[in-house]
Amino acid sequence: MNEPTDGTERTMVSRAAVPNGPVDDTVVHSLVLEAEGTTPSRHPLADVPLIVGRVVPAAIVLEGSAVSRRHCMIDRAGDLVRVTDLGSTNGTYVDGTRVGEPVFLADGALIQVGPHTLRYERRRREEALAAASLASDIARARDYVNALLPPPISDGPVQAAWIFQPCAALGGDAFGYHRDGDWFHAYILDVAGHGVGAAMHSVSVMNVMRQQALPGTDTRDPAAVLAALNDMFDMEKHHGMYFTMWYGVLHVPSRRLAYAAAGHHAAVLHVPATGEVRALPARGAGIGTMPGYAYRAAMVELPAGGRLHLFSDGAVELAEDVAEPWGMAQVTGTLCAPAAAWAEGPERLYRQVRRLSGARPLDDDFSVLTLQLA
Amino acid sequence: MQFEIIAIEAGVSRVVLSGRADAAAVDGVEAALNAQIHASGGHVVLDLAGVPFMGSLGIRLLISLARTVARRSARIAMTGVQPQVLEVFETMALLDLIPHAPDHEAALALLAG
Repeated sequence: MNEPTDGTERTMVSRAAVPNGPVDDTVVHSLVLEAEGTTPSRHPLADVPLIVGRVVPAAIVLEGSAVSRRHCMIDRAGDLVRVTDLGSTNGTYVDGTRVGEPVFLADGALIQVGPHTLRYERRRREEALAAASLASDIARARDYVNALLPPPISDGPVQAAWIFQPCAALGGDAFGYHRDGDWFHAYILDVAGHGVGAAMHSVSVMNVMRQQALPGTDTRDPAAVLAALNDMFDMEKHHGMYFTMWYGVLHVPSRRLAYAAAGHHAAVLHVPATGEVRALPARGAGIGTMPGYAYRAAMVELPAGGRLHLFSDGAVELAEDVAEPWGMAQVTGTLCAPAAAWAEGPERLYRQVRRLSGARPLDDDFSVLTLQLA
Repeated sequence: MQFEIIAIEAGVSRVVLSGRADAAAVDGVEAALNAQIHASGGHVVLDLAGVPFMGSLGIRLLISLARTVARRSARIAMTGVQPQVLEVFETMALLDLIPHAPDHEAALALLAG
């Protein structure tokens, strides 16, 4: 181990208790910080201690009032890694237990610092390289999905606001909308499964929808669109992947909405002027699950000023041990809160889900799309 | 999530699934369950009374089982589906693929039908 010679705080840490274990240089030790919407950041542990805190010169700087300026220190002793709390106000936790004396870390240990969680990873060098390569693929796939999402619309007869927060592994969510003369098309989809494969499946569907590449299909008929996609994306021909989808076409002058769904959550209609909130449920097989399935479209006339909320599993299905019950009723209640600016609904719902999930990263993509009629 | 396969009578297996069918749980049983259903032959009754949550990968597992059973010209039915899970199945039209029977006897009648 290199002894710092500059007299900085690093030298203040006693290493007397650290056993000098054997150094295995085929092993890579890392701390992984996961945050929604970004690539997990990976911090290799070198021989010098690494400080975690709210301000530089901490090597890992974490935001939040619950993080102390110098919160904890992680250092290596040969082949072992330990965490030492540096007298932080709110404590450092390893796998849920507050750190008193320095704690040696097992592979996969979760270090909690305020609202943030760092995962300790111990990998053989070749496994670490493979993991880095996968992380890079995931980052590229996420960027690709992001690049295909349409920009929000802030004026005109149909406006749109959304939030898309992919989970670390990517969850296969996608959505889109476009104007076609007097018609406005919108959809949301959610591929079953996680990873680059699920995200690339959603990208394939987005590209078909963007290019309107459904031969012989009236794209103003939602049932026909879902049937054509069901034919094109049979799960047997796509590595067993299927997706749920909601698709709607609004005739803007008459505000008549035709919609159909393939196993997706019901869209929620909210009329702020009257306080009306109602689900627009539609039954239908997941896309790719049942060849030849006959989808049925429903029709509803939207009132002037009405809002339509579409969302994915990640908004509704949280881990079973979150602090409060969560489901469709809570999602609807949060999105349709009275006297709120319409475009803030998706963000408000995300903040609520984030709060309930605590430090834990979300384990599915979170997507909410809100359409506002003039 | 766990599963148990019980041969209940000639040509019929009862598959008892229990626990939350979320992504991680399904990952843990999918290969073994598919392999055993493939090897079992005959009709299948899925008992889902012990499954309080069925995520999208759980549904994919059921569809895959249904397809395996259909390929050998056998039938599949399920029993004991909890109300919140049944709601998801109805939204997905899954009952068109795997009919739901109120009890085990009714499921056997569906298979015979």
